[in-house]
Formats: sequence, structure tokens, C-alpha cells
Amino acid sequence: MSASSSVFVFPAFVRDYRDDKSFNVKGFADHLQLKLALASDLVDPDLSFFHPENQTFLDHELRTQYIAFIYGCSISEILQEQGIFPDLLCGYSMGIYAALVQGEAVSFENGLLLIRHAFQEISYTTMTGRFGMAGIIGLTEPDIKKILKEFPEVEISNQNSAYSFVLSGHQCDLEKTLAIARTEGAFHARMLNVTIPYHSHFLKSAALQFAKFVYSIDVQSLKIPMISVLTQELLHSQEDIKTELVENLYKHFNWHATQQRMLRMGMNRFIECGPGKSLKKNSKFIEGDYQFISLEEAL
Amino acid sequence: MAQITEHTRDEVQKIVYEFFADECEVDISEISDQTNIIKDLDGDSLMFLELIEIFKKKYNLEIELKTIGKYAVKHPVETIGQLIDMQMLIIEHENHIMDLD
Repeated sequence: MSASSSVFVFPAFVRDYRDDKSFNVKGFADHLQLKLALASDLVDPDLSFFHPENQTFLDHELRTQYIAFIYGCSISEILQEQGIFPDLLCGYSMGIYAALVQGEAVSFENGLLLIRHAFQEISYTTMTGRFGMAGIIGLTEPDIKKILKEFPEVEISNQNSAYSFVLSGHQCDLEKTLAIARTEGAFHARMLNVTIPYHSHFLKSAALQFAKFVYSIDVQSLKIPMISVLTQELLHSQEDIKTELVENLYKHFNWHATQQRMLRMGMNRFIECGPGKSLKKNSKFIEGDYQFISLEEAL
Repeated sequence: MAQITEHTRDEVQKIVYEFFADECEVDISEISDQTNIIKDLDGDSLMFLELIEIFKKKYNLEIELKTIGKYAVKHPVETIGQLIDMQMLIIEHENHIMDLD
């Protein structure tokens, strides 16, 4: 491992493009356009209309996943063209698809198809109810678990840091949970702009349907090591990858524990391969001797 | 409990101004006590949390975040000046800040 051990981290969604400085990097626009053209031919013609200045697609859950995926793959390629190679890959939630493409476990095209199939199965499963996700900042895990005793269908779907949590569940239950969280002293307690309860038991049946597609495509062993955000273990075999793809839809993940595990592994440079800074901002609450940077800062 | 001196407010103000200038990528000369944290600086709750952690370490404060959160619900902060005033109360009163009401 080199003196500077780098992790390429791939975010799941795009919330806004205001922090995005990728277009300042020579060659980025060409990479992005090429991939947008491929994606518009394969999965969604409207992707060819994307431009970050227009804040395009931010209210479209599937397209924002495609865009995060395309950004992730483009940024990773630029970094490697400039001689910056990852020692480890990590996909934050639905960022798993871009991470697997960069590890050469799946093709770019199959990455897009995985996103589409997962979203389709999830949409079928959740069309009969109103679901969502919510973020709570400022309370501890025991504080939140105490609130959730009243709402057994709401789950902690991710822990970002000691005081930052993501919940999944029915929208009405989440709204009641947030109201209590505010009175208990949460600094921030808001619904996220998604209608799908990712990483919760509600998606188990969707995941089982998605598995049929996962097991029908070509999945290779990883050429670059990748860590699971579900278990904090390294993924090795093709079977590991397929299992991770399926379980990633309905099992909780723990970003806090995953970043801590990567630090213990000796990783000291995290590069956020996406248009935002959300993971970089979150990293300020995870102690350690490391840097968390964007594409522009890495070059 | 931290010792408040005549210089403490200046110290807190300097930290707060430098923090927001750095986080929000604006020139420090553009920040004043009247600056609105959300409207003018596009600040967010993570920044507030980070700032509290900075002061907890600097002044060795014993305070639970949720206590500050409860106080902030009753006394919402909009401007840099209000934030500095709240930080001063946190430094001075720590977990007893709720007793001020």
C-alpha cells in the first residue's frame, strides 16, 4: 500500500450541484457527455438534457441516481488518468453500482441496468403506501431508539456519525417521529427528498425480485478491493458481490462504522467521487488523521 | 465550567467569523453580527453542530447536544450575532442553560 492510501467513495444521490466544481477539471465534461450519451441510449433518453447549472432532475429519484452514477464513474476515470489510483473502493448506499463498475466487477452498461431494475422492483413494492426517509442530527442512538418504541415500523437505516442518523418508514410515522425528535433536542429533524424507504425491511420482497436480475448478469471478481457498508468486511468473490447487491436494498448500513473501519485499515485519503460535498461535510464528525477531498482538490 | 473573561466574547466572535468564512467560502469582511446564517451564508445544522464541538473542546465544556437543541428550539438563532450570544451562554452555563428560562 502506498504512503497515501486512497479510497474512492461513491455517493448515492445528488441533492444539488452548487458545490460541484468538477467542470473546472480538464476533460471532465467530455467524460460526462460520453457517458450521458451512452446512458440516454440505454436507459433514459432524457438524460441527454442534463446540465448541472439547471439543477436538472433533482426531484426525479431514478434520474438523480443515474446522474450520481455517471458522475462517479467519470470522476474515477479522470483521477486514474491523472495517476491517482484507489487502494479501496466504497459505495455509500446506492453508490455501490459506481463502485462495482470502477472495480471492474460489472460493466458501465450493467451498472445502469442494475439501477433501473432495482428502482422498478422497489417502485412496485412501495406503490401501495406512502413511504420516505428522514434525517435526525443532534440525538444519540439510544435517544432515537427510545422514540422509536412508539413507532416499531420505523427503522434506523443508516448512522452517519455519532449524532447523525437516517430513518426509513411510512411517511406519517416518520413525521411523528421527527416532531418528537425536535422536542427532545434534535438540531435537525427533516424528511429527505425521497419516497422510498431504502435500507429497510419494506424492500425485502423487492430485493428478492431484484436478485433474479442480479443473478442473470455478468459479475466478475473485483480488481480493486471494495468494502461493504453493510458489514464493514471486504468483498471478495462474485457471490459476495451478488449478495451485497441484493442485501444493499433492504439491510441497514452504517457509514460511521465503515469509515472508522477504513481508517483502521490505514486509509488516509478519501476522495468523494460525486458532484456534492455531503460525505466530506459528514467526515468532520468522524475523528482520525485523514483528508476527505473532492476531484478538484485531489488534482 | 469555563471562566468567562472580558476577552471571551472577542475570542468566540473570532472563531465564529473564521469558521463561517472558511466553511461558506466567503471573505471574512463580508461577515458581520447581522449576517443571516441561512439566507446570507447558506449555512446548515451540520455547521452549527461542528461549531459546538469546537467550543466543547476549546473550553472543555460538559454539555449534552440535546440540551443545546432544546434551548435552540425555544430561542432560535438566525444571525451570527445571535449565534455568538448563544455560544457565550453555553460556555457560561453548560448543561444549566435550560435553567435560564
